[in-house]
Amino acid sequence: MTFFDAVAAEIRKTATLPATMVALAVTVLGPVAITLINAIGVRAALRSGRSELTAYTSPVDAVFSAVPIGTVGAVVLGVVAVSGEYTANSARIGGGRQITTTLTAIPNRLGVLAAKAVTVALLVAVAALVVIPASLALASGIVGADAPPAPEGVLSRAVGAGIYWLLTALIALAVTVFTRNGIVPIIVLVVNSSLVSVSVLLSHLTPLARFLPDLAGMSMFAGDLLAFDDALAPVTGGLVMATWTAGLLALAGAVFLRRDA
Amino acid sequence: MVLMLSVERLVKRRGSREILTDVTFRAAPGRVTGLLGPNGAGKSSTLRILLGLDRADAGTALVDDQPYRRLRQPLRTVGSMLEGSGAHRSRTARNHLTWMARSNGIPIRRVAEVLDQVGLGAAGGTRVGRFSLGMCQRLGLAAALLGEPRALVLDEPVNGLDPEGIRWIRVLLRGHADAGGTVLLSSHLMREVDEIADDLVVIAHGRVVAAGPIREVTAGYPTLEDAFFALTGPTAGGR
Amino acid sequence: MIRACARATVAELTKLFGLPAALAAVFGTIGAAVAISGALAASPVGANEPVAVVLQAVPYLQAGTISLGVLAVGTEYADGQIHTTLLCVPDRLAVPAAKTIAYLAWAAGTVVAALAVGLLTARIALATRDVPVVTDGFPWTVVGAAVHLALIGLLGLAFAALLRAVVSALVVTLSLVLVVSPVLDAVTPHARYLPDQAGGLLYLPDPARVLTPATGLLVLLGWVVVIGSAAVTAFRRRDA
Repeated sequence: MTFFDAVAAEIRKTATLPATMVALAVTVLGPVAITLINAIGVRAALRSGRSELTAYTSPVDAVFSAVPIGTVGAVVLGVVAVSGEYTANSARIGGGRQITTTLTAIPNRLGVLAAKAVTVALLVAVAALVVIPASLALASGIVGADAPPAPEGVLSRAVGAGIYWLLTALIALAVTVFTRNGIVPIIVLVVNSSLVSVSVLLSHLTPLARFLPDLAGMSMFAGDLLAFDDALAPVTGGLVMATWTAGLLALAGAVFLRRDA
Repeated sequence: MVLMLSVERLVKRRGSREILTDVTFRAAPGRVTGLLGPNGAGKSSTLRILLGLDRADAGTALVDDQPYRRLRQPLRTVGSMLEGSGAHRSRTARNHLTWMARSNGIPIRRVAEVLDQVGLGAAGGTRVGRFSLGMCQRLGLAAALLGEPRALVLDEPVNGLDPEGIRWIRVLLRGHADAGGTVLLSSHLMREVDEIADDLVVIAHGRVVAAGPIREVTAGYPTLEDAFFALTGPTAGGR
Repeated sequence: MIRACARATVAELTKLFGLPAALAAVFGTIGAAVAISGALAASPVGANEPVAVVLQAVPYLQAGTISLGVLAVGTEYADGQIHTTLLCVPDRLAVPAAKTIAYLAWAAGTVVAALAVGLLTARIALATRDVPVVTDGFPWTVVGAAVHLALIGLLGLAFAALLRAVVSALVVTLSLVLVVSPVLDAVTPHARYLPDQAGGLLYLPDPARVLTPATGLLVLLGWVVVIGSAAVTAFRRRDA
């Protein structure tokens, strides 16, 4: 069995899980819906001439402030790709776990994990390619001629948001390999998806907090939306987050390799 | 005091498909009634309606003269076991039985008694998720026996039990019926039913195709197995 | 009827006690209160008064009571436990009532402990920074925060009853309260009718003065009642 076959099997397995469908829907529809509400709010503020009513007046920020809801979808995608393997079937149908089947079909464990990571990355990348351009178009369409001139760097921020989702989904996947249960990673990572996360809190205590994966990664797209001052530069932030992701995936691989199924 | 389980002209639909059609039978006190049928025949659906979990589209299912949902302390009247343990995997067996006892005002000492009775005395503090299939089945039986009920309703009780466990449950059910209790169990295992049951209800494609004392149902066939296939096979009609 | 409900409630309390995840949610909430209050009090940009510090920690603690509420109901739908529950208590109204009361008892204990320990931590942390501690009267806002935390968890419980699963209920409730709400707050004043912001008026002043603490409480209760009644209606109708 080649790696390509393993990825094909994982895509089929993951993409047909109902939870994956829901997570993809959240990743796609969530940011679009929030962008819609944001943009309508911005337009109302601009037309009434009271721009102080909203925290920002740019249609671009209407999109990037909606990124956290897509992060939630990415987290769920990463978590269910792994936790689905460990959820016991209903006792009424035998109480077995899919991981047993998976590892008997593909005994190469690192291959299984890599295939899962590739699958999750592909799904998130496709979602990001659809939803970010669509949201940007939607926001500028709604705010229209009232919009202030577009700030620079929209393209790099858009790419940054997509990378942020992708890396977050992979971190969620790695953490779920450690816990073998979706509940804890969901709580921790959804709480931390918010722009007022625990990491922002930590940043008041120590400047080192900006090296935490979420704060480092948010610098790729958040711009002025990030509620803290000495953020890393976007590229540095992205590299820091990518390093965290690679480290956590490597650790997850080591754990997965050593543990009994 | 006697207790009759009676199912009268039960109809149940899932979507447009009728999964139970005019199902009628009784389970009498002092006897073990076996509900026999192939997979998907409607055995579990019938029991779930009798136990108030699912609603019938027509017909009635009564414990004495009342639907299960009206019973005040149901565990003291009908002990039941569906497939699986029915306990969240992270609980201990003892915690599971304790909350069940509290919900029906059953003395807490019964928890230790039934755990000993089903042979799980040493496993009371173990999480249910670590149980084998056979142990889950024993926990389900412990839950059924908890309220010292007059009637037992058991869905596939011998599933996953080892030969010793099967003999044990046979003795237990016989003793319960001989003491005047009512036992209704479902199974697709003919040999077990043959050895335990006094009365038989054969169900196929959601219809009762034969009912009565086991000797009457199997009369004219060399074995229960022959009777079963003749009654439930594709060419079988109701008798 | 009353006795049956009382017995069902005692059973639900026992059930929560036997659920390791529920105990983890309780101790996690208390631990988070200590850690976050300590961090806020130790930070130079934070508030200089124990009550204000603890109130800043409340938004994070919402995740704790939401988890407790979701677990109380969501775990019923794993391993067929809901069948056992309905075999023990066939009354389809007694079950949700007993669950609500048992949750509220556990949540009340949890938030009182968490906020008390948080106040203590804040006081100690401020003392180490030599900040003079001012106390003026009984901190009613802390009581308001406790009520808010318990009720926001009840919203999680209602979502879990509607969705019949732990993970999806957690995702929906946590995203609504912690992700969507702050995002919308930046652009529209209508965000004040979201459950967490309406309930937040129990411990935070509203600069716009559109809602009072009492009407805010009613809005939050309205959310709980609407989602809870949808869940109970579905629960009574469908097969278990």
